[in-house]
Parts: sequence; structure tokens; C-alpha cells
Amino acid sequence: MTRYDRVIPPGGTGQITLGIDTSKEIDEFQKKAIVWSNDPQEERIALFLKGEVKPHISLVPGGYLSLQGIRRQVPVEKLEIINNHKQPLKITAVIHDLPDQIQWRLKENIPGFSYTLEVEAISTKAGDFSGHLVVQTDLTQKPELVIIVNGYIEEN
Amino acid sequence: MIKNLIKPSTGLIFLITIVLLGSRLFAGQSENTPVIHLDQTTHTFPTAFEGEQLSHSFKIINRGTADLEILDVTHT
Repeated sequence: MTRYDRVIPPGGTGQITLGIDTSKEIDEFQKKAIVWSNDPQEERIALFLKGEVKPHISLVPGGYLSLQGIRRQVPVEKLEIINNHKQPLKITAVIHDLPDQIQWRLKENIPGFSYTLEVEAISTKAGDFSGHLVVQTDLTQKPELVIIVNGYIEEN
Repeated sequence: MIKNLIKPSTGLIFLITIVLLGSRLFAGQSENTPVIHLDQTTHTFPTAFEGEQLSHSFKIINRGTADLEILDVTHT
């Protein structure tokens, strides 16, 4: 979003308004805009917007789990769910589409702020699988977190 | 005799007037220019959450003697 006054009389003031859609940014950002004018000494001036965008809820190390190993000996994979808001949240449900391949456990580290999600492969067959775990919360801004789960199960 | 005296002086005055007007007009053209000024060219937002709409207005001052025209604002 960019708005600006087209003509500013001698001695007058005007505005250039620049906007940022933070849904397209993550972590630190810097945006540059060039203002072109009829000032013969300074036809272009660079403007900068800087900042940092945090997710409402962080998934550490990320929103992806890979369960890989020999059948019945696949290591349990974990990820941490961190609430970045000052107000606590509730995890209202965890649902997934891999009923025959995985099971999950949720541990509360700091109530309302930090959780560890453990996912274990329970598949009795060798082979690959792929699906999603959805963590539902009561946080209005982030009611769902989608975690991709991939499995690579080998025969003994 | 008087006519002859007036004619050259009138012509001279006319010539001087034209030169003066011309030089003033020319001088005016070079003086009347816009001068863009911004107190600030960088703005740092406080930390925001994803999805928030952020915006900031930069103040522009025209310190010149002619209209300042903002022709375009491009993003890189």
C-alpha cells in the first residue's frame, strides 16, 4: 500500500505513506521505496522500512516431522510448540489423517506457553507414508497449526 | 532636431528594457525550483505479529520556490 501527495506548494508539507503486509514477511525485513520528484538537485530519494515479524506460535525446529527407521524401531520425533503472545493459550485438539501409521503425545512444559509434541510411528508395515497433524488452539489469530508428517519405514 | 534626439534614446531605452526583462525572466527560471526535504528516510517498526498491517507516513517539506511534484514512488 502506497499513498502520497502529488503536488506540494513552496513552503508546504506533504506525506508519503508506505505499508507492509506482514503475512508475507517473516523474521527481520527491510523494504525500500524510491521517491521520484521534479527537484532538479534530488530527483530520487530512497526510503526504508525495517522491522521484525514474529509468528503467533512457533514450531521448533519447524512444521515438519520425518519418521525414519526400521519397523518397530523408528525413533520418536519431537517438536516444540511455543506461544509468542503474553497471554496463555489452550491446545484444544490434535487431529491427523494417519490413524494406522502414527500416534502422538502432548507434554505441557510451561502451561499456556510451551508444549512438546511427540510423534511415534506405529505402522506394522514397511513403506512410506505422508500426512498431516493439525494442532488446534483457542488463539483467534492462529486457530490451527499444520504439521507435515512423512514416514520411511524399512523392513528388518 | 528634437525628433532626431528622441528617436535614438527611445530605441536605446527599449533595448535596455528588453534586455533587463529578458535577464530577469531568465534569472527567475533558474531560481524558481522545488527543493525536496525529508527529516527521516528510515523507519523501524516495533516487533509485529504475522498478519498485522503496518504503515508509516514520511513527512515531505518543499523548501523551494516552485511546486514540488512527486512523480512516482517505486518499490525495489
